[in-house]
Amino acid sequence: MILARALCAAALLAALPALAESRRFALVVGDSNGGAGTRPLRYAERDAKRMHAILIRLGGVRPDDARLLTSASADQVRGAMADLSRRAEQARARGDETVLVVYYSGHAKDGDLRLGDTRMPLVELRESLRNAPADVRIGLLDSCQSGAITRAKGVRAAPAFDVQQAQAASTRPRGLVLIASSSADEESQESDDIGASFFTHYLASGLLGDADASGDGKVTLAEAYAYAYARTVGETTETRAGAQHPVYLYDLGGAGDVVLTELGPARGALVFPAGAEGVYVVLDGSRRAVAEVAKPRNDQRRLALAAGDYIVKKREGDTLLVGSFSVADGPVEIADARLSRKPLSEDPQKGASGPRWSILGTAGGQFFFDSAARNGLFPPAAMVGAELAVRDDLGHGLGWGLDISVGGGSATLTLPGVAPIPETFMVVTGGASLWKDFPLGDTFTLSLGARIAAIYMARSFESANDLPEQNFFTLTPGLQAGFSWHFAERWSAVARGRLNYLFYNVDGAQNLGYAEIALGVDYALGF
Amino acid sequence: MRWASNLAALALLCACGNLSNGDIAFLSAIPRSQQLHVQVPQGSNVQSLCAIGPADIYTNAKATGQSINAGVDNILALVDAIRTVTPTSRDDDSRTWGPYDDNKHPGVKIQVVMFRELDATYTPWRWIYTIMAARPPAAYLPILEGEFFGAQASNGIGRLTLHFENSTSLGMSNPGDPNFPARIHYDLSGDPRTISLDLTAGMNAFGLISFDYFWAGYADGHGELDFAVPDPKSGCTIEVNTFFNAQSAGRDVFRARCGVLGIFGDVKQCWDPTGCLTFVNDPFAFTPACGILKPCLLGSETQCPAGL
Repeated sequence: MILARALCAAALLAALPALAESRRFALVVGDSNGGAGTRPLRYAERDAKRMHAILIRLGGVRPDDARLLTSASADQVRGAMADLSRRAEQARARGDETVLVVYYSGHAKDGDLRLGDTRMPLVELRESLRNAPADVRIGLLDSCQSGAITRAKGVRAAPAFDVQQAQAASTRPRGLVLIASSSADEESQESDDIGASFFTHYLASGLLGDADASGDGKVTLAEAYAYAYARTVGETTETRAGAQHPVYLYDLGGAGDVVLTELGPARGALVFPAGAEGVYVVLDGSRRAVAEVAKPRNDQRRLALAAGDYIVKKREGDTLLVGSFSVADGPVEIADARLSRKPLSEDPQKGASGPRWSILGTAGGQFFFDSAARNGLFPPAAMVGAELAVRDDLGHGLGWGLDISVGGGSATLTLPGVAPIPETFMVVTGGASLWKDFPLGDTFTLSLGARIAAIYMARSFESANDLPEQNFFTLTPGLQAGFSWHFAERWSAVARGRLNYLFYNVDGAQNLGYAEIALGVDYALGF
Repeated sequence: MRWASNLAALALLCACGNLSNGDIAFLSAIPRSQQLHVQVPQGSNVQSLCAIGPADIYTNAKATGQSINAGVDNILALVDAIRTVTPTSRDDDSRTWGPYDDNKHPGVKIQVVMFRELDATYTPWRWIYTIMAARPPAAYLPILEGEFFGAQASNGIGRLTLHFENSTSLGMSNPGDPNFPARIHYDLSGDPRTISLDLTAGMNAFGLISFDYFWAGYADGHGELDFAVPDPKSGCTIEVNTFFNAQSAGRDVFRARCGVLGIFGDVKQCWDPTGCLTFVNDPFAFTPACGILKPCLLGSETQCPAGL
């Protein structure tokens, strides 16, 4: 029912002719932090940057007419809005047809946009858009419960037939369109698989060309909405939070649809020919998804992409079809025959589940292999440490982390002919590590990797206080292996060992090796 | 293998510090002033009424011991200065500190060098320690020379020479310092532990007159101190051999060196733990308790402490 309604609206909107000339302004806001009581979003700011780039590259917005705000306060948003409104008013005074697009990705709750610790009521945003001195004002909100913006007093969500009636009354579109990623009582969902929010990902994919149902090289507001609606609903049906339904308020009079992006036949593009069929995911150079193409057979699709290197992948059964392509000024045709078949384990997409952050607390020890080195210089030490780890960030199954450990103890320095000298010592190490995870079933993981660290060791001789305190600092590369048992939703028990190399050069040059063994508990931070 | 050499170079650049067992071995061989202190039993601080009279020689021995210790401290203060300073360069068998500018004496540079070598007689090491100073471009002069045997000074053997004559010529001496070499010899390797302060190269230093001062201390607390003091009454120099036990009782034998009058014969005294004379055999009446009585025989020799 909902899908049918959306398609109906999209079809009606698509019937409008495109605008000939216009001056476009864009305010793009992304904020991962919604203040107290909210969990940081993982992709809000990336989504905003993505939309900002698309609007400038394909949306006809001059760079100096665009404002990208990330982690901004409500007052900063108001200021940018006022600034763009002034510019739009000046442009309209010169006779330009003006369009103002406001995109927001972030938290919304209890009727407010939540920008860090500041608030901006949805009603205020809607009224700002309504009163903005632009011919067409478009609000795109990707946030939880953002559909509330379409429930304002005096305004109703426009049904399709109302839109059609209004269009006939004017020659050029004028008015307000609000599109929200979810209804007033729904959550807007992010996806670790695609590394974005569902709605923005499909909206962006549509704007890049997959929504160009008419094939005229232009993606209209109606096409983009219909596409984003269908893909968002379709892809969220099976999620834990349930289907997410974008909503819109259409209060646009006049004739002609609003073209959001022009794909430009001369620009670089990936072209999916009529014979191609299926869902193709396009990854950029950093192996993150930039677009998807849901390609029906007998229909050509064109994705207008910036020049660069891309990877296209398509899942086919239990395998992947993967290919690398360079986009320059012309079209590059994507056909299955140009893709290589690979196992799913070689998915090139970085962080198929998105980067996962966790913090690890450890307790263990450090032990030098050389007995002479253990004699006072580097005695066996008890260590405690912490590590911030990020998995699936640099690639699928890859993890990196930053760690610090402190330790120490008491030891005895034994020198020939000299009475044993008690000493107390401390050790501080900090390093960066990179490893590969090898899942062993659902609950166990083996990790192998490398680490470069700095080590600082100091000792003092309290019973012989006229002996100087001594210290040593150096870099120490090493290899590490870990074994983890995922025993609860966010918790894992970890056993880890490291083999390290240390170059010691005070009492002559020595190449030393030492081991670190630790047991710990890993807590997944949920972002 | 270029990456390996690059990694080694990086490690070399980053490896820094003074964590060194070798440094500790070198420092352990250097005597501490406390280890070279003369320990004369101090006895009771309460002044007793003495039947014969107070043991002035014992009182002199205690004061002399403190003066010797002050002299040792003066000499070893220079040695101690390098304990908390990281060596400037290290070899397997040597350490060098400096040259440094001497903050107390502008224009003076100081360098300390310490070598070690295996010695057939003394196991395991013979250590040679030198503090040198100079006013560039003049050549360095030794300020202090030491030779130590044994891995650890606390049970080692050694000698130290403080060249006051050089420190004086460099303008580094303190008021009251002598201008001749002062030497310390010590043997802490057995029982007794012996320490001597040789001031025979000059006249006076550290409040002491020219003499080769000697102390021997045994593990059970008894010991010997040989010293010299001026006798204001006679104008002679009294050269004393004192022997004392752990309870502070003791005996002494001294003779007087009186310039043109030559050397007098032995004077014998004994005293009890309270510092009172118990026996005097003084043919020359140097002992104040004798008054004008010559020869002077007071008390009984049976009152002398046994075993000394």
